[in-house]
Amino acid sequence: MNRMFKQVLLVGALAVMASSAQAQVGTLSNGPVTVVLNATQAPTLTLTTSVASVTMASIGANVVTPFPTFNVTATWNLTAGTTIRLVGWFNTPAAALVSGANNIASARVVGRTGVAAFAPFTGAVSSGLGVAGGTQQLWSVNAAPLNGTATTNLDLALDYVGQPSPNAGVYTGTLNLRAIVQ
Amino acid sequence: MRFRRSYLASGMALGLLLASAFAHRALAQTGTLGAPVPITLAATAADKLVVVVMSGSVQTIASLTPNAINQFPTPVQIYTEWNLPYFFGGTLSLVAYFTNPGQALTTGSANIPSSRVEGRTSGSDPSLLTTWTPFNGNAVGGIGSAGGTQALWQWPGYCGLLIFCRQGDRTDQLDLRLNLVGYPTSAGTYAGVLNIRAVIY
Repeated sequence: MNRMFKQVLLVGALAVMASSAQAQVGTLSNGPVTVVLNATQAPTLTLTTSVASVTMASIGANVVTPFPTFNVTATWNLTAGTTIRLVGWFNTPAAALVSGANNIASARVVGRTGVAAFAPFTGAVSSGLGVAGGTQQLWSVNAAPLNGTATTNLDLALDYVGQPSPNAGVYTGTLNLRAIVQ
Repeated sequence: MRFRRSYLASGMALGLLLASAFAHRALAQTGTLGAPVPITLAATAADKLVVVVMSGSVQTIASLTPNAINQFPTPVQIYTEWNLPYFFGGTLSLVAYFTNPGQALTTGSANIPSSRVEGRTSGSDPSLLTTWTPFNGNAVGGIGSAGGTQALWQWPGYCGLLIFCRQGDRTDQLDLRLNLVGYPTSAGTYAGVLNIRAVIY
């Protein structure tokens, strides 16, 4: 009898333990608690050229003498905007290229992208970029999707049609290129 | 003589009676006990399983670097406390997860999935994320999301019966980073929420 009573007690205790254990499985903490994550990637618009400089061996009189063609690549990762524009300009239109005291004006420098007609760098400030009388919008491309890249050729030349060649010398100058999204 | 004996006996009996009476009275005066009044005391120690983010509850990267690993600058301090009945059994684990693994952080229509969010813990042992690990695991103990979860730590093993660790606390440090190597991201401000919860299963 005593042994049987102990067995009953043992079984009862085990049952209580099992019941208690089962009741607790699945217990959750309050919450959940949270960690807020914020990360900002700034918009970017970069421009690269396939070469850093272009050179022509001889400036012809009464002709358009081209520089070697090179490529311009725009890469963008934007949050807004519809059009990316490429603008080129010379800081001093009257002296786009200089050789000592001799100058070649930006009006004699012509440029184009793709197969468009050559146009001189004589325009006004474009999209807030450039210098009055020394600027040209060279290219525009659709900004959609807002994360993309595009490449175009850029042809530059010196237009001395109807003109004698400039005074002898090595002329150098800098064409500024910049892209803007609008 | 008989009378004297009888008288003496009566006197002694009377004396004893009086002494007894006095003694009883004295006892009643110095230790009188009233009927006991039982007061039932009931105090319930409820199961406690608490998780608190002590610091670092808002993590910010001001400027993401594309195609690179970007670590959040400050760690998250997580305090966990538990006080559970004996024999509760199972495994105690701290689980972190993103509700939507494909969109752990979002900005407009652009997303960073949870597989690009990595975590690493340090602090009390045992810890599971001793190396950088993406939040790409499945739910743990029914907590979390498929493909967006990681258990930061768990106590099975020597606490299998959990008799010796039914009550305790620990503080862990969780470092977080975005692994954007090979994952192009659009410009914008990404926001997301990492959920943290303790569970017994």
